[in-house]
Amino acid sequence: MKNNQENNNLDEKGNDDLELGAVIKNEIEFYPKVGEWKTEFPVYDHDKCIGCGICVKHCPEGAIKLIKTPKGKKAVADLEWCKGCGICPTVCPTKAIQMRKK
Amino acid sequence: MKNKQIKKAITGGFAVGEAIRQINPDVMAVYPITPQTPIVEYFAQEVADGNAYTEIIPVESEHSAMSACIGSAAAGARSMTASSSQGIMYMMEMLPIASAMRLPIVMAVSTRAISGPLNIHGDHSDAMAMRDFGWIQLFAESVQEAYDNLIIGTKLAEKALLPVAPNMDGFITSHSVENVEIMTDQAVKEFVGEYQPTQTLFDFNEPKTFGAIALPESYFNFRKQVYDAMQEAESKFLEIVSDFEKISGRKYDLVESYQLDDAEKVIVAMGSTCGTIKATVDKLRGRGQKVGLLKIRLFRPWPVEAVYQALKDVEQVFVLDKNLSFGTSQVLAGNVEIALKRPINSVVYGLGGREISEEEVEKIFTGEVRSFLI
Repeated sequence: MKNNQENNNLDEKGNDDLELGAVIKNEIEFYPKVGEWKTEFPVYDHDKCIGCGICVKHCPEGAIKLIKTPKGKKAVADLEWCKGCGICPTVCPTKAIQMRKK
Repeated sequence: MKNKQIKKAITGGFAVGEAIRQINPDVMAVYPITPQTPIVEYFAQEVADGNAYTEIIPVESEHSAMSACIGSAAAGARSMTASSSQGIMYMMEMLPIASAMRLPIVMAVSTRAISGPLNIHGDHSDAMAMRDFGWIQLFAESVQEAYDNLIIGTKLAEKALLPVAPNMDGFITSHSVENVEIMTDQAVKEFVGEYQPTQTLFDFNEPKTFGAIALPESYFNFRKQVYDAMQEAESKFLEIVSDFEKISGRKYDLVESYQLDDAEKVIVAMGSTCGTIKATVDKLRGRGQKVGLLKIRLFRPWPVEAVYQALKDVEQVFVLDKNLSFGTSQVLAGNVEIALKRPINSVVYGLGGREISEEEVEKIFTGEVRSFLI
């Protein structure tokens, strides 16, 4: 819904531009990338990474993916969406992830 | 064309359960409470016997029952529940959310007194407590009407995109056996049709967020949206009951006028007591007294115009409330006053299941009873 505060009279103002039941259509391109919030970011050591996928399941933003490399599956974070929460280094069984200051 | 119907002698609870079985909703979230229990008792048996394919969710409280209904309705499932009294009080938090999210949930209500003191018998206190939450409310006089109101209510919910509560009087209607005309399963299924949700959580091509926050610049507008939908529900109700008459042969309206044409004294009431009042009206008419009854079927949205048209020429109007508002006028009396724009006589009766007799209705007509029929 567009913010229309010039005219506060709801009797006159049509409600045509209102979504039904306050539903938000998730047009993801209009949303701010939460990656800007972070103060720290994760660095992945692909020599230590065993591609177990535990960090993928724990990431609250769903920002981590496993990609195929010549050395097998390795974890990679999308830093546009990574908030720098620091969960992935905590759960990593091989200590392959380190947080660095931005 | 009127369809074939089967006559059965069943209680209100079983009749509503039978209507739910015929509609065969996708989800029914249930938690037991007197006097609602027979509805779900009957329906759960039917599901266990394989006569309905509903997913019954046995939740841990009424708050969860309504939450489960909201979740499943947002996912696009036809969702129902049933409750009474303290159950409705406990789900109170979820009730306005259901209407603001425009989810067509149907909640069969057996009206009951609210605590305290603790009382399990029938009055309208629970239904009146939820009157301003954007729920469409229908009141039934008999078991037949309780059965019909659930079928009409289901269609109305999906047309108006608002939750509906078809009410029947706890114990008096819900536990009393009456003769009911049950429609065929086929006729009911064709009447309510297949549920087509307008927007669902399971739309993966256009993902949506349901039940998000609305700040001052939009909250007011969303509440107004529910208000507008409620205003439009009245005409949708009239369309549905005229379709319903074609398949059932039973004619319903926003209100029912009984001996109103030349009446000088009229009682306005809702629910099962209307039967007692009709019998009294017949008796007094036999003695030449010009009395009548106006029965409210659709309580929310309040049919202002229909009430005004029915009562505009009546000298004395007595409004019977089966609930008590403390420190203000009674709910139904206040609503009738809004429609008529002149003072009426307000009488409170039947709290906590206290019975009302024909003699007492007579006393109301003569003016012997002033405000409280204790």
